[in-house]
Amino acid sequence: MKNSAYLFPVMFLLLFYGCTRQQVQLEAALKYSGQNRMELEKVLAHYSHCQSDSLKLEAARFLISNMPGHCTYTSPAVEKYYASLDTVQGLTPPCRKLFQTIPFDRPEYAGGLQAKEDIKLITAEYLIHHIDLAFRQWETLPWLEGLDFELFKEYFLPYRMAYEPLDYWRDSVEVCRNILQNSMENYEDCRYFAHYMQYELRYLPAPRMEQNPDRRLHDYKMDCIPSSRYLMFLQRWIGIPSAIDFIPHFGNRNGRHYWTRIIDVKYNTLRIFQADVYRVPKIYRQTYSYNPFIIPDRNEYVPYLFRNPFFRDVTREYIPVTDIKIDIPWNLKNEHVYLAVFNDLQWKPVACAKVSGSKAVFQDMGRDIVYLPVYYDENETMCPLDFPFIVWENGETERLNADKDRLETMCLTRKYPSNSMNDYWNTSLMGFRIEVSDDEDFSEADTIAVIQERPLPKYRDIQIDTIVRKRYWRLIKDNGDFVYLAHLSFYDKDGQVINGKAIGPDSGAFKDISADDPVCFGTIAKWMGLDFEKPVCISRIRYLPRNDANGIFPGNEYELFYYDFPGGWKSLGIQNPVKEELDYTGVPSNALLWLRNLTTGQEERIFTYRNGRIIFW
Amino acid sequence: MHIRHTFLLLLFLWTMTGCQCKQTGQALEKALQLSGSNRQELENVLEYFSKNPSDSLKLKAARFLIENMPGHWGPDPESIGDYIKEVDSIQGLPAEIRRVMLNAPAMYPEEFPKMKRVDDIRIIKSEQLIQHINRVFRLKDSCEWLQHIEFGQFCEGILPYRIANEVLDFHYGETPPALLEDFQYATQYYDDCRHCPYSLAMFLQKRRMFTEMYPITNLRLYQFAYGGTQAKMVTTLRLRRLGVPGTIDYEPGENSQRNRMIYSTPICSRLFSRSYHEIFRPNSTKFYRKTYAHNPIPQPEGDEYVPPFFRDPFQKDVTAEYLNTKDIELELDLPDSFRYAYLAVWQNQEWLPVSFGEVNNGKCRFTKLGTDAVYLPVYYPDGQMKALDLPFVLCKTGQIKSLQTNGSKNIIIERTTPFHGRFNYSNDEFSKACIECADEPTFKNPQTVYVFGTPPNYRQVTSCWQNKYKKRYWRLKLSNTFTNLSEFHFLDAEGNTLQGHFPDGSENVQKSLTDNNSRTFGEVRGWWTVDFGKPETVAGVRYMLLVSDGNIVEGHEYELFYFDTFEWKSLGKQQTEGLHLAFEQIPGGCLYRLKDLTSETWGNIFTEENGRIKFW
Repeated sequence: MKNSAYLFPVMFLLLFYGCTRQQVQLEAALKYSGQNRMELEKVLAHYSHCQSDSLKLEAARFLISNMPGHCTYTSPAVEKYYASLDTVQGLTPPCRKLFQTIPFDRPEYAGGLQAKEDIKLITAEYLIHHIDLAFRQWETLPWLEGLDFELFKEYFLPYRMAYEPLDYWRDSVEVCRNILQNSMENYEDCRYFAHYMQYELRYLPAPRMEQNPDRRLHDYKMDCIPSSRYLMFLQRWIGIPSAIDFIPHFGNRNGRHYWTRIIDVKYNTLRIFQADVYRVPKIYRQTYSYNPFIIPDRNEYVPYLFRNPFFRDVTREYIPVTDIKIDIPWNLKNEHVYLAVFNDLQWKPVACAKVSGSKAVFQDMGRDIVYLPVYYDENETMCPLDFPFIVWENGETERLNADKDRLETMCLTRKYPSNSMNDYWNTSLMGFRIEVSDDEDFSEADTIAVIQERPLPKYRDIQIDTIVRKRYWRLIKDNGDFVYLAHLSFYDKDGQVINGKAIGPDSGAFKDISADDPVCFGTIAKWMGLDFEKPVCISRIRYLPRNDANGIFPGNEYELFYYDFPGGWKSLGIQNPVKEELDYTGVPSNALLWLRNLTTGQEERIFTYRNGRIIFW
Repeated sequence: MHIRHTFLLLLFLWTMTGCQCKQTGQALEKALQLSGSNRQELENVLEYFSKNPSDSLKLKAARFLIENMPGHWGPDPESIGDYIKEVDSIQGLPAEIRRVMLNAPAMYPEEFPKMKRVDDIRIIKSEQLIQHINRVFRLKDSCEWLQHIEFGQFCEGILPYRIANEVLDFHYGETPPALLEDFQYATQYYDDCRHCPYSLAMFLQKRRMFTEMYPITNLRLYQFAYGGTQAKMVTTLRLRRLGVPGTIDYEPGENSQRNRMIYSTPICSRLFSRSYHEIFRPNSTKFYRKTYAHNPIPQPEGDEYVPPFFRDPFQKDVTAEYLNTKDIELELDLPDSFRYAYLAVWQNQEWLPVSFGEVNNGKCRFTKLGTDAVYLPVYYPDGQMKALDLPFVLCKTGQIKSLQTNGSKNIIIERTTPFHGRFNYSNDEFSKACIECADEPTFKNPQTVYVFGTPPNYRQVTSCWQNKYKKRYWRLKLSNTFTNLSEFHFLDAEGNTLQGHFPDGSENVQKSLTDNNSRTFGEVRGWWTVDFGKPETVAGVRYMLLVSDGNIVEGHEYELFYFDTFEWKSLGKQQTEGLHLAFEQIPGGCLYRLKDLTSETWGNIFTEENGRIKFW
């Protein structure tokens, strides 16, 4: 549905494409508005009477010129949903706005959606009302002092944030007038800096999905996309200029990330939102205004990311960047080529460049990432243009042309990089004690083992002296920290697994801990024990710390691939390991590699092999 | 045409390369000249790395160190021999802490009157420098994350042999076992640490070796080890020892480096180098970064005085990394014999120069200035700071507003420092609290009389109600677990405090809440009850939440000053009766500051516009 969102203003685009003058763009928008032209001209006329309204006139021109492409999605089901939403009491306006956008992400409402274009429906009265209120806030809110017109019109003036229905949301700020008034009157930091004013938002109730009138939407997950939408609306609503920035695909992990960026006049961007610990090929910003974009040729497929005129490349605001020039084969007919990163087990385009002769230059690319240069054929299939290459952190590039004449041997222990941010999974087990007792409440207990060393994310055994014979066994940590455990099993003196009944305040965690799934884990806050119903001897206790299950597990089937050009991924064989590692021989050197777990799991990353060590990308 | 263009391009490139070589050659030659009798030692280093083409990068590194060596100095060890012995008597002192302790004589020269400074360029030995360069390159070769570091960042982030003005010392000692263990663990098991210095720095700085201080019992030595900027230097040195490039960013801060706001900043070519601690000070104006390389500093002709902060060429202006900045040009009436003017900001009761500019034809350009701040243009005749003009506000728009006295006005002052919302949780704690009354002490069937609405912030507030309940037991009931109150009085219809018995809380709390002293406070948990002994009608309450600092204090004497004709002038003294001061018919439009004469403390500078005070 969304991919077709930008097809309808094609006529408009054709009218003004290539023209940079706002007047031409405005005229094209007015032409495109059809029968609604009168309403838009009323707005322009309204602000043309008085010289003191010249900036408002500019604002109106900005909104109208960039209006084609902005729309409300609707359908009978969505309209019914909106009607039920209106009956819900106690929703703050930002929560209501968030709820209005939820159907666009859900299959329940996907059918029959139609776009109601703003340019063809918006009324003069609405636009004038909106512009006047936005200006009033700009002129009166103390933290907006110094916000120039260019920033104001892009990050504060727009009347919508997504495809929600239009309403008079700026009026509703009265709801939080007390908070605003108190912050402005009493707090020097909030009064003068948008950056600090955001902290006052803590007083507003956060959205609760159970407030949604459609019960089917109660399981809606507030991940970074709706969260950023909500926060941007919340901030603009109370008068903080802001924008949504996003990483379409990470360069060294699966997934993407969206966040809300405050446009503060004094402070530069201090935080870099996941661009620090993860590799970022590109960062885009959602804008109200048009940005350079591709109008696809009739025979050339262009991915959605590059057809959307409302995405602006802001990578260089966040990270050091490098321009990358690639050679184009003489026989390639495409006008555009792309750089793709490996994400969610496939190559995904993140940047586009226009072919110029035998070259194409990709501007402002993030570093320390493996890119694959690609194009799309007439079947809309992604095709490689060359071997993948590394852009090192100093901007140098290195082509990964697999050398099949120089073969290597390697030992693999993981399929996905280990991350130090998860170190607490292992360290949580340090100091964990095993106690035994004859009493269920462990009033008299003996400690028989303590985990002293930081365990690794692998199965480990604690050998127990079988002289100990007790009915109740428990795991306890004294300092009150949470312990994360993926597996725990007890073995009797014959080496057989012995089962008991979980006891203790954290007995609920036993179900997950005893499950035969290394990803599944339980959390122990106080202690968890087992009642074996009679005194037993235990010969060993096997445990596994919480982990990402991206190690090598005996019983799973693995296949190693290397990237060849033009053939793509080629297998180096399937293995069924009996230990926690894989040994591969005959691996082409300087190749990009990919280890797949054919049995289970989703997290897999490409890697290179240098000097006996794996470098994940 | 095409050939002509190519020729011109080649000519241009040759000229540019030639210029560059000439410039770096000049810097090197200048450094060698300054080395005097030590020249041979430096030339030995260059020659040593020139023999083998595979050492070309080491040669570049050696050139970088030597070219930028002039100006780097440390105390002559013999002149502070006793102090070095004292430091070395601390058993098991980690090498990095020892190193920064040997910077103390340069930081606290008044404590080391016999200290003599010696320039590195005159004493450094070729063997020392060669060994140091080889050691750093071995580190570079062994650390995966350094394989593709930008050379400039390598030179600044890991190559320097000194971090400040410590005694020149090329003995690095052993890496502390705990640090080594953490480092090896991180680089062995975590891919992100192995490939990204930023992630490695993040991981390591949470470890015990970075969070715990080595115990030093002697208070004087403790200050030399951990006071001011020293602790951050230890962090940076430890990271560098392990091959993690890092530097130090700071605000100009006070008049010496001892109390600067300072941040250890990791360097990673993939990211902009910024401190990963968010730097939040509403009055921040400038940020500088410690460098080994030279940066532009004032170059006066003759004996023009330059303040110490700007004599240090080893700091780079990185304000734009943290703030949106503006450049300004001022017309300044600087005497002909002076070449440089400065902009000063008010910090810790004095004007502190934070930026310099060269005056040309009566105009002076200052660059990369933080906005929404008050600056004072100054210069230094006879080595003393003197204002060149009135202070001004640099607005966020870049507009300059001169703070010139303009007419007269009346002002009311409630605080001496700004009240910030970011960390103010008192309002939260008190929100939705209510007043209840009952006939029995258990409040089994309480009557809710009043629910508090508007937050009181830092003010003392009186809340009244119309209901005329007559009950023996009254209480403040919190909706949250606890709150801290400075004052809490139950009032009769005339506004007089009603006396009663307070069964909750200690005697101290009872006293603090009713002593009409805004600086004493008590913690109230759940509720605060009064038993009047008989049914009583309460018409309202007077109360005040705990305010940590900055309020006008009842009974104190204050003196107000304004800045006029380049100095602070008194506008008179006042003894307070309530919690505010009122000054009438004082000069308007200028910069003020208030002194609490009773507690001998100064408030922030402030301006007043449209009845509102703004602190700077």
